[in-house]
This record gives sequence, structure tokens and C-alpha cells, in this order.
Amino acid sequence: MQRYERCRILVEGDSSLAQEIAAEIEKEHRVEIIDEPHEELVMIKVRESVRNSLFYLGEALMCSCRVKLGDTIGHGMVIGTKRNLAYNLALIDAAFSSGIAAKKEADWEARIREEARKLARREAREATLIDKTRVDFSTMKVEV
Amino acid sequence: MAYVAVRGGQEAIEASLSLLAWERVKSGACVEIKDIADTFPDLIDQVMGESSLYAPELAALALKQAQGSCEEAVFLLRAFRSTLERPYISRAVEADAMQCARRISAAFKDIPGGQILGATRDYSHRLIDFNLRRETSETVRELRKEMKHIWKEEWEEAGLGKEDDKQAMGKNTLEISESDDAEADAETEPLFSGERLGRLPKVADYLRSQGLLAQYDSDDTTPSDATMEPLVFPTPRSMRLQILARGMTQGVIALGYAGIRGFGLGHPTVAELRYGNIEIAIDHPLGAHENSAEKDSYQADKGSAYYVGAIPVTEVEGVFEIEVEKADGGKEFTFDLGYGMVMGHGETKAIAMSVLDFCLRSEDKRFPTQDEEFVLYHVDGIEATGFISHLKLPHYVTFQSKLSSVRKAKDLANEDKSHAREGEQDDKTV
Repeated sequence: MQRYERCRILVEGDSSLAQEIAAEIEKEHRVEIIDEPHEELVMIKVRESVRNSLFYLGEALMCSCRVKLGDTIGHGMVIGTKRNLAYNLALIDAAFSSGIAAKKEADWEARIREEARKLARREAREATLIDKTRVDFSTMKVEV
Repeated sequence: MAYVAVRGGQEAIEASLSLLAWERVKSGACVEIKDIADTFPDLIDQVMGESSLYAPELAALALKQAQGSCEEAVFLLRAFRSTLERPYISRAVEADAMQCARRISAAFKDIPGGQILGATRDYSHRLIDFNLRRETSETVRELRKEMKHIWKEEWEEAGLGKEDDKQAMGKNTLEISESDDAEADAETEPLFSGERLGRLPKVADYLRSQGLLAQYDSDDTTPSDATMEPLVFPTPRSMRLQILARGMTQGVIALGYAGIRGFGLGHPTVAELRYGNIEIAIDHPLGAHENSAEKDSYQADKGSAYYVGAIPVTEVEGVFEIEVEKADGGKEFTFDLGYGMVMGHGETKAIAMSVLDFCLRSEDKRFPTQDEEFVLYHVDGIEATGFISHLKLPHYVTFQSKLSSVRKAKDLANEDKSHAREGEQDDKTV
């Protein structure tokens, strides 16, 4: 599982999953916090579709954290002020990047995939509600 | 004339601030930040958009502190953002990657992916609902439960029901409970986050395929940043788009309207209006992708980037009919687009932005909406409200100067009149 998808599921899914995995990492390994979770900004860059050029839409408040696991630095970044989640994400990032917990990775990935399924279910339910607002022009009759 | 420092009023100012604090609490009523964020999402979107900062909870807090004043809340949020570091710039979000919760076109009836109305007031009656007077938290919860019961049946029919969930994942995250408050709380996830409905093709691509719109290669020029650079004319388009996106909602709408009404280049047709979530990704902070030729592409090497969240935006492409010169010197009609994108749900502002984007690209400066100095300097909320508000502050010395000039002019005029009268008297005497 690639980092982007892993982060997406951990950010959008139930935050207790990241908490559980991070707790398991903490239990087995010594964690050094390089940057405590703190608020900062990310500028959102957008490619507009008229001339295919780039512009800055605006900024988003985010929370980031940096930890060290062995020799590997892990980054945790999430929009909002969820400091605990930023820390947990940093820990998980470091664990996956370092391979320090290779034996556990398969189990964590399985739990992340399970969360992905729940997320997909929720998204599919939302999609059904939105899809009902799709206009069906074929039902319109032409008056002669 | 020199400025003269004046002291005084300290006690009056302190008393005024106490009175302001009293005004906020005198009713004895208190509204929770979460309630503001949950019940006024459009207002929160407006504050965030004009502040150019996505932070729903802080926008709600700012509104509470500002006692509902949008301009004051924007001021507070802009001031707050200036206290934070900004170490990251996101990967470029491709506009067509939006997970649409609403998508319509005024140009074509049948569009690939269909017209999706989403949640809109466009077809609602603009009548005050007096039933809301009697609404309580309890009745809201009941209504919510009723609606979800109906949907639950539909979800089950679509294979997305409770049993399907149990089979697939062992737990139903949206199971409706009649009595369990804890479970009810767990259901507070937004239903209309609009995620992952799927990418939809752009309506404008059809016009491009017909040769009615010009095709442009990707331009990866680093955008100008209004938060870091002064406004210098002529401005690059990236600066214009950023300033319009964070402009005062009503200011942008007013100028966009003027542009359509005859003080601009014409009347657009909304080729496409989309509302939905865009995903924000950040590359590895150590710059693992610095050497990637496609580092600005949303898809290029996306897998190793960090997903940090998704934010709702409104995007508009407005199509304008234009006359262009052909190679043989003749003229022909074709189309061009204006672009608008704003944070949150701001459809009117996004349409007006697309009008102004188109007007400001014109070399013809006949109308004020085509004058970038006129538009860009005046749509920024902090600039406009700040300057207008400063007129309330003491101008005693400058006004004394004006007073003295007017008095002098009046005295001179009176002297001239009396001289003239004396002259008339002398003429009569003679």
C-alpha cells in the first residue's frame, strides 16, 4: 500500500485505528519526537483548467509532527488541529518507511484495508444520495 | 503639515471595550463553536474564503468573537494566519480531480456524467419557513433519524445496508440506533462530504474537441503569491486569480454583475459549475521529488506523497463568445473561457470570478471591470474595510486644516462680495 492511500484512509477513516497502530509501535520501539505536533499552514496550489496554469487558491490550517524511529524520520501531516492524529501518523510513517516493524506491517495493512472498506461503504452511501439528484431529461415529453 | 501626537481617552477606550464585552454576553445566551460551524456552513465558507484560510473551527470561533460580523471575523482570521509558519505548498490540484457533490451545465442539456443537482436552493421557494421557530435539537434529531431510515432502505436495496456491512466488514458505521446515544454521536460524520463520487469529464473538453476552444499545454510557471508579494501592475494571471478567490464575496459579485450588465465584455454561459472536495497532497518534506519532471502533476508520483485532507471548493468555467482575427486577416467568432474557483460553497462568487477573470485578460480597457487596478485593489476585504474604517479614527489635525481652508475661502468670497456691493453702491451714487 502506497503512502498516499495509507494516509488517506488513516485521515478520513476512524482515527482510533491510527491510535491503535501508533500505540503498538510505541510499545515495541523507542520513539524520539523531533518536532512536537504543532499548527502551521499549507498553501493550496491549483491548476486552473482554462489556460492550464497554476495559481494559489489559499491556505489551509494543518497540524504536523516529526518523529524518529531508529534512523528513520517519520512525518505526520493533517489538515485541521488534530495534534494527536498528526503524531500517530508520523509514527506510522516512520514505522512503514524504516521497515523496523516488518513483521507487523502485514497485520497493520490488513486493518487499514478493512478501514478502507468501511470508508468506501460510507462514500458509496453518500454517492447514492447525490446520484439521486442526477437529472433525467429523457422523461421530458415534447409538446406538438 | 506635521502630525501632532495627542494623548487622552484611555479610560473611555477601556470602558468602551468593557461595553463591547457586555454586548456579547448581556443576553445570557451562549452558542457553542460547533453549533456555529454545523448550522451556518455557508457563512463559515464565506469567512474562510475571504480570509483565504481553510479552518472551519477557527472561522466559527472568529464569528463568535465578532458577534456575527463577517468582515470582523475575516480580519481576525487573516491576522491569525499571519502568526503561523507556512512551510508547505501542496502538489498542484488538477481541477478535474474534484469529487463532485454537485455539477451542472447551463450550456448543454446532455453532458457526459449527467447534470447532478446535489444539494441546491436553486429550485426552492424563497419563503420564510416559520416552522423553524418551533424547531428544537430534539426535533432536528428526529427529522434526521426519519430521513436516514428512508435512506437506509435504499442503501440496503443497493447492497450497502446493514447486513451487507456486517458481511463485508463486521460493523456498520452508519447503523441507525433508536436509543443508543453513543451510537447516535458516532453518526455525526457529514453525509454530504462529496468524496469519491468519481471524476467527471469536463464540459469544456467537448468544445475543445470541436475546435471551438483553444487547447493549452500545461504551464508550470511558479504562481505569484499575494501573501508574499506586493501588488504590481500589470499582474500575472495567477495573482489575479488568487486575489479574486479571496475577494469580498459581495464585492466580487457586484463587479462581476457590472461586467455582464454593460460595464464589461459580455454575457457568459456557465459551461460548468462544480462543487465538491479536492484532495490536498504534500510531497515529502525532504524533497524526494525535486528531480521529477512532472512534480506539479497531481498524478505524477502521487503514491509517495502525503494525503493531508480534502477541502470543499466551487469551480466555474464560463464560456464567452469572442471575435478573433484569422491568419488571412479576416475575422471569425469562437469561444473563450473565464475561470472561477473559491473555497467552500460559493457559486455566485465563483461565477462572478469567472466573469472578472475573462474581463481582466482583455487588452481593451474601456470598462472598469477590465482595469485590474480598479478590480484587484477594491475587492480585497481587508484593504477595503480597513481603509473605510480608518475614516472613523481621529482626523482632528487634517480636518482643522480643511476647516481653515474652507473658512479662508469663504472669507475671501465674502470680501469679494462686499467689494462688489461697495462698487455697486458707488456706481449708484455716481
